[in-house]
Amino acid sequence: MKRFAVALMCFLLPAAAAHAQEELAVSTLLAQPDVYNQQIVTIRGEIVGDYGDRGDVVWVQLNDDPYVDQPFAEEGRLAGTNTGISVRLNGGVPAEFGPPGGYGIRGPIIEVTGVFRDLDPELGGLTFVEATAVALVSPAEAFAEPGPDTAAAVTGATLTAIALLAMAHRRDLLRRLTRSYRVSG
Amino acid sequence: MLLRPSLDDHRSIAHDLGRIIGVVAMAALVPLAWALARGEWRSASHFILLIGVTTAVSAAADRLRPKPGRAVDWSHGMVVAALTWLVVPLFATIPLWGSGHYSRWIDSYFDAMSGLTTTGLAVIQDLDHLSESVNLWRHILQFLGGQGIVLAALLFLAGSGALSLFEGEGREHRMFPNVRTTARFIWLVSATHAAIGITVLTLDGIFVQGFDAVRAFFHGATIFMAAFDTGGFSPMSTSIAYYNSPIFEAIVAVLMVAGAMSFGLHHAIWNRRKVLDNIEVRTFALTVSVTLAVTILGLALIGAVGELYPLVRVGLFHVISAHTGTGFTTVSVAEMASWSGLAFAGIAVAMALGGMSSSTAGGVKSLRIGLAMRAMRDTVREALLPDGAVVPQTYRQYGTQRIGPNLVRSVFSISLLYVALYLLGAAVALGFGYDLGPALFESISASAAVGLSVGIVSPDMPLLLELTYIAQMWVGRLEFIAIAALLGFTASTVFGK
Repeated sequence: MKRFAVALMCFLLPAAAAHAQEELAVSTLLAQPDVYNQQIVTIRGEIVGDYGDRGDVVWVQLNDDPYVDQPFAEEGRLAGTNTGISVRLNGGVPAEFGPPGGYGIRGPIIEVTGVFRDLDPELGGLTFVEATAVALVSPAEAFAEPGPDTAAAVTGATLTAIALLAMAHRRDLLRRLTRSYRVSG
Repeated sequence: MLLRPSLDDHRSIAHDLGRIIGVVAMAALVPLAWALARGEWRSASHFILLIGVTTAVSAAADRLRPKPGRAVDWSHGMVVAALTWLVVPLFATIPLWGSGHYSRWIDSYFDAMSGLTTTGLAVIQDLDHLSESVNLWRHILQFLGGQGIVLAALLFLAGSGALSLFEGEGREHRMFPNVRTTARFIWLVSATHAAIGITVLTLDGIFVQGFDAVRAFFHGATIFMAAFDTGGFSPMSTSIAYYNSPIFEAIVAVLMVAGAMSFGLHHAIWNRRKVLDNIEVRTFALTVSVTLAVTILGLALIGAVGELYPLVRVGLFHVISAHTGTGFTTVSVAEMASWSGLAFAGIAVAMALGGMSSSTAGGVKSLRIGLAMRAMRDTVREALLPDGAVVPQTYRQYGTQRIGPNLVRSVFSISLLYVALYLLGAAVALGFGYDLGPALFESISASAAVGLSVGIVSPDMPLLLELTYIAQMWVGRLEFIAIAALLGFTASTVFGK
């Protein structure tokens, strides 16, 4: 907990200074890597998937697609495919962030300032943002799990039962089972 | 004159198709169990519906058993194989469409076809918030398609029709005289690779990536299925770039190559037989080396990747991914779209050539490339040598085989059909105003069951283009013969007397 608190402080203080920097879309970074390579950039988005905790650093995927502000789990509206980039966070992830985004969860929204590294030679060609400052915009939010589709489940279960009975009847399984029960009885 | 198939012919085809659909019901039990374990109730209810519908169809088809003693003939087997790849995706869409992650039903059919044909192109939206069980289902479709849903059914089928079903799936080499024994061996190879592959990827997920154990297993299982079956779906939208790990990439590359190897080669290796003189091994090694050199040179020329190590790593991973027909990537779509000149050519040619025959890979296949080169070499030698000189026309593949005129004709016919298929898809995309390069790239990717994309395949693509890609995936996976048999059967049913 102490580690997380220290990490949070380290992230939040420089983040305030970096706030003045213009925010870039991830799609812009990926479309013009030559322009932004090795430059300090600021991006904002949702952490999705997993926290890849490798001890001294944590790798995350940061998406800045429309689902950040209009989560699919809440709105149920589709707005195309995801757009994301890897971000390397130094020093861990504070507990306040909450779980990463996934099914029924809108992950924490953060603002990251850091160095954009396109096909970085030191890391064998990875493309990512090396975070120097991180600010938590909004912690993770869980949405109520959509209830079961009762009609689908009942229809499916009924069809399965009828089909299995029909197949058993065709192969005379029930009579054979009953007979073997009587014999053994 | 065309002979109209009898009612018994239709019954026998429907009966075998029903058995294959029964395999879908069994396969759907896995994501259902996952959905229940993870509390994904809505997805679970859709899997129950899928199981119910497929079991009911299978049970109904079971009643259409043909007359005793009537075996499935060659053309029936081919028709069943062709129909399998059209009909199974219809059922497979139930949980996909139910997830709500598709704007149009045809998009979910596109993804189901892409999964079953192990292509890996996807139009799913907001993949990163999809339920794990439906995500797992996408990968199971690739496993079923790659390992052969027909092969799975063959374990329960017998008779002369089994061989034509086997061949109808685009498989040519039998390791054993009995097709069912061959099917069992293929599943044994797959199960062994699965046990090792999933374990290694899961351990990497826990100890290298730093994921929790359940998620590491989820990533391991899904990526294994997509890699070994040369499918290319990934559980996250950024494909293999999500993992940021050279070790992970290396494991995946090994699995992709293992998946692109013919099961005959697996059999030879298991029996410690010599394989280095095998024409497919030599051709595959040659074409991978050439396309790799071209791609790396191209990447260096456009300055996309600066230094040698990343240049080789990025180039090697993408050439293996393209050549094996997998379609994984470690760069963004925008980055790949910027690869022009030789880099583009290297990747496109690698995709078009494909993996080995009787494997899960698509494309023209190394055996045909090797045989075509050998036939051309022999023709040149015959022309250069004095009259009466005898040029031995043989090749090595599990022993010495003879290159006969029928084989050469078949090799060139199928290869030309693939080229025509590549051009057809490109022409349709050109008609919608896309540039030639991306149009050709996407068309090859769909036809050769690869899955790499430079951005044309998306939820917004025109409907006709989407239908074209669906048809290309279907035709490319079945290698034309089964499709021709289905068309012939349909024509006989309609016009026959």
